[in-house]
Amino acid sequence: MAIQTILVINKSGGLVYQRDFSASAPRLSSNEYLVLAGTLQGVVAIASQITPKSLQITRKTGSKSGSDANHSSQLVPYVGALGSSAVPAQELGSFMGPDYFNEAFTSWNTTGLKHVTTDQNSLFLYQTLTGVKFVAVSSQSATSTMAVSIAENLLRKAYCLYVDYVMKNPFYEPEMPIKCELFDKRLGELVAQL
Amino acid sequence: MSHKIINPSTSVAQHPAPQGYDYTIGPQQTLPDLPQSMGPSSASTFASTGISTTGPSAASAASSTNLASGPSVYSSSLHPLAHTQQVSLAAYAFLFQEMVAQARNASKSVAEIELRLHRHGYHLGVRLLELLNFRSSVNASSRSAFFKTSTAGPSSTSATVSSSAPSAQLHGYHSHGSGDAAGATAAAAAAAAADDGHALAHSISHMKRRDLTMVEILQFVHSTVWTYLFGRPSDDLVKSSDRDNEFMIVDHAPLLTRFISSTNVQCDFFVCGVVEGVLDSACFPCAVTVHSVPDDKFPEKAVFVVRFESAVLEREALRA
Amino acid sequence: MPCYFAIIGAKDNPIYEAEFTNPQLNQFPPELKELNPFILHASLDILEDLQWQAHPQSGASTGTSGGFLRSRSSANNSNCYLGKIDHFYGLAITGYLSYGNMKFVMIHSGNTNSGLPVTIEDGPVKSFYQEVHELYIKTLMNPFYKLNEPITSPVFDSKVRTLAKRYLTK
Repeated sequence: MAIQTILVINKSGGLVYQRDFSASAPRLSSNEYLVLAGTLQGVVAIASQITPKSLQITRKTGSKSGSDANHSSQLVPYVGALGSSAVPAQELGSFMGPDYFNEAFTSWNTTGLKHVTTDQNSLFLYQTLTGVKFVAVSSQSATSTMAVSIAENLLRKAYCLYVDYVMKNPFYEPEMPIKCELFDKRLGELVAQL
Repeated sequence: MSHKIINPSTSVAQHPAPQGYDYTIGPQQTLPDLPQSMGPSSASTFASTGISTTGPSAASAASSTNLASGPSVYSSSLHPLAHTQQVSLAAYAFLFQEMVAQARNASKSVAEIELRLHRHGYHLGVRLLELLNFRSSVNASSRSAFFKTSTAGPSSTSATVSSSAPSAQLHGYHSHGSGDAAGATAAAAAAAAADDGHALAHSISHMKRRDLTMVEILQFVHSTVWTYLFGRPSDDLVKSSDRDNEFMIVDHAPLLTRFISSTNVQCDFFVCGVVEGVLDSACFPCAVTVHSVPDDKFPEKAVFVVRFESAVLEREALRA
Repeated sequence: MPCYFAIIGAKDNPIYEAEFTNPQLNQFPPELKELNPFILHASLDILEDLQWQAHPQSGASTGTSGGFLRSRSSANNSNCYLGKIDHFYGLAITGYLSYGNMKFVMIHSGNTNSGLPVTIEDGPVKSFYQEVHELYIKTLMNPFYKLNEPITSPVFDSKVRTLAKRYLTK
């Protein structure tokens, strides 16, 4: 799975971070990326409206009322270190090694939109509780649940980096475009490991 | 207090009870009307009324031996194991982030931000010099004596910071070496005995020597202060080959700024302030600056340059 | 025996003073009481000289700083407690330096005004200084206390007096 682009969209739908990782990534102008971010925000909002209410309720109340099927659908399995664990433990910031996390995690994405697949590309979405959305564009047309959970793991790790190197940077203004060298660097390392 | 008239000490009637030192009055000449045997149990009745209350109510409370007990600096122990050993890195980072942000909002220029951070650190350094030296005077034997005499009791000073948070552990403001299992159980005992303020100095037979030379005091900074703040000694301590008064403390990955992308503001000036506070109050006046010297292996390497004033060199030449 | 104790800050300013007297028996005579701060500050020069000596208590330095300063010699390696540093007409002055070079000094007076020099018992006096040092560090831990400011806390005061009662009165 070749990651072409990673986007970070803030809670009001503005594009705060965009980075291409492969030369084959489609060259879009910054304006087009902004439009893409706004469109995604709109699609997510629509998807959350058309997702059946019953499904949202069972997801919110968690495993107590949900059936086994529901339970497994909201838990994203941990898929391992995603390639070689070249990062030394002390490079993990405020996370304890050997990896950022090492167990299955609850998906906070209750809107229903997790990935979009076309013949050429697929697009994965990871949503945080605070409304920040991490988007990865892959060059493969992947539909398997395995691919989706790998993408979710990757984006969750990107979120961990965001927490460390963006939110703990005193010079970052919330909701503004991210210009943090260390975040760039660590994200590059993360994607390069795949 | 500055508007008070300073009277000669004889013109003041003798006070029946200690009310705290007032420099406008001068020394007061009483001994407390207390039983001679001030054991640990009666010492705890002195757990106090707050430090800077000098009003009449506080004074009258102090006159009786049954002081209203509440948490105060005097009722908590200085023992290295009396406080939680570790603070989560995330908490440390967020606190520092907020400090930088506050300095940034209040400043007009980069130099001013750095000056503010420097000043914050300075006050910390002044205190660390006394505290850490005193703690190193508490040796192993007096530690065990401390725990033997400690009286178990409910303590209000046991820290509540969880050290099991899913984050890297480091030694925070209230920490000191030895984070082993024995230390953890000892910490609980020390916290229980934390209001026994007198036990500590009493059990010290030899105070640690004051550091008299530049090298001694820099080694103290390099090892003790660094270990206390960052959980490890600094990576190197180098003497400049060009200038006699210049020393360099090298840190390959400064902990405080590890989440801060390099900007034109050097946030490590906080650590400069700590170092300068330590050295200044130990009578080694100096100027400390920080320079980031990235190399291939350590992209975040920082060098703290300490420049002593010429008076320090002259003094050392005289005493050599 | 009455004692006059002071903590002197970095700018030679007193940040704490106290007299330990027994109201029934022993007090400083009024004319001497006024002189106490002067006697004490006069000994600060000697204290600052001892401050930078490697072995202030060893007696090896008596050649340079005057033999009359040393009442005794010891092989003690510690350089916080300086012992008896000065005397003034039968009054003895002892000194102690904290790590931040706060000067703890005390005038010891004899029981009578006979002019006999006071003998200092180093053990209890040193313990007194160490415990006051600990109290001073605790004061410093208060974020609202600034270095070199007078210590006005009644708790500090009463604790110091309790220590004086325990260690200095016989």
